[in-house]
Amino acid sequence: MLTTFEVYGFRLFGHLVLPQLGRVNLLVGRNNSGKSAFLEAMEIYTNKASARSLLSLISARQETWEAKAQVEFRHLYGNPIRHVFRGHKLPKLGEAGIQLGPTLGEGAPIRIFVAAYKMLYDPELQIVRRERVKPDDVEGLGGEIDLSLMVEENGRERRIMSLERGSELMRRHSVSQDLDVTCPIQVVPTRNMEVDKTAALWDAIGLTELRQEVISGLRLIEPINDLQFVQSTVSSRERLPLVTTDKSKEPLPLRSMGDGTNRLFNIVLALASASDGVLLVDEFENGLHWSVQKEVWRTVFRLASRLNVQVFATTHSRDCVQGFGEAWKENEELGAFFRLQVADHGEVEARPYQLELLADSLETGVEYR
Amino acid sequence: MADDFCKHEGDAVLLVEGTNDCHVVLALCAKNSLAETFGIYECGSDVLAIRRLNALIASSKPPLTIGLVIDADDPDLGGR
Repeated sequence: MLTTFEVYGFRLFGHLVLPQLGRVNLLVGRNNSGKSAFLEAMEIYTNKASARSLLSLISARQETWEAKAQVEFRHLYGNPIRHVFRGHKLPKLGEAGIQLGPTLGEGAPIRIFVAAYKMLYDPELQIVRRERVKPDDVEGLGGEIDLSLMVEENGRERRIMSLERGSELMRRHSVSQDLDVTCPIQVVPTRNMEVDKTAALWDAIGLTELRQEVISGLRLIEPINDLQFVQSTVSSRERLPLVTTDKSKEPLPLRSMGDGTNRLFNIVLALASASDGVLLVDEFENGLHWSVQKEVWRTVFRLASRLNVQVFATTHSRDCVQGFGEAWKENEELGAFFRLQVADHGEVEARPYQLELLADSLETGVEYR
Repeated sequence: MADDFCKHEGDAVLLVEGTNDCHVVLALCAKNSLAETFGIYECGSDVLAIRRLNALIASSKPPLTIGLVIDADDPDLGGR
């Protein structure tokens, strides 16, 4: 479990430090203070800067918009991957780039940067080999150079992807799998996961005791007895979740139960599927009525401990923080709360709140978000 | 119920324990013709005044100036 996390040069962050992380972490902050970007940083770190995670993040923000135009106008603005770097600019050769991970001494951060390779043809083996070129030696090599995105961890470097012909490579990488990701991570976005993703997660835990944990979680809102994914009659490729309840033995679509039940299903299913890993939830409160927030957080604290999951969530909601605070009070050692804010010097910083300070703020009605 | 002028949330605020303290301070200000450069917030108790001070300092919208009057009726500060 991460006890600290630092971000250098990613998105809007110059240098962000989150000290004293807990098992269950909640972040607040104004719009554009970097809450979602922080979750992205955590996702990239956990996925060891896999091409797939990088590309899906920029795609989700529609930062790939120029990829199509690049077919006609090459190098219109440069490779879309530049958007994850501070100032939307790829670092130059030899520049630091992005660093994500625990504070040095408490674990190994990853470093993402650009490197140059020279393409060499080996006539004997009839293959083209890549040979690393030092930044100072690049000048004069012209078109022979291939710029690549690199990641380094513990002194070990890995090439993530070529930065040449970005749009074509993006399409190829978007369907490729990453083989070196060992830490499970589940992400619940603001508008929930795609239905096929939830179906796949349910398939994976459906025959384990975690199935009951998810159904128990759903009962915080509706008296649901069982859940099953079935083939949609509309689309042969789509599967949809049906439930039975104490009120109705007839199976009903989970979707018909309302936004709160569907949000809860996403959160608890993702949590149950993230054993020994990380769960990220953007705008936790979406769809959840204030009266259930405390119980949902209690479930999150309990399952996160039991399944060894570290949770990072964001919210704008006072009710959500209230519920979190009450659950945190019952699990004093497990929680952490931060506000991301733009400091006087213009950089985003994290303001940690101890349990007592959050309680003071909640109980005296002082704004903390 | 406290008067609205004892629940000031502006940039300059004086935290006091209760409604009586609020009215005493208001009377002192009037008696001495003080300009209205700050407002007063009655917190409910000495403990709540200190907790509000704590929360305000950390707040996302902190006042520029915070004052605190507690134990105005108890000159013995030895226990503090």
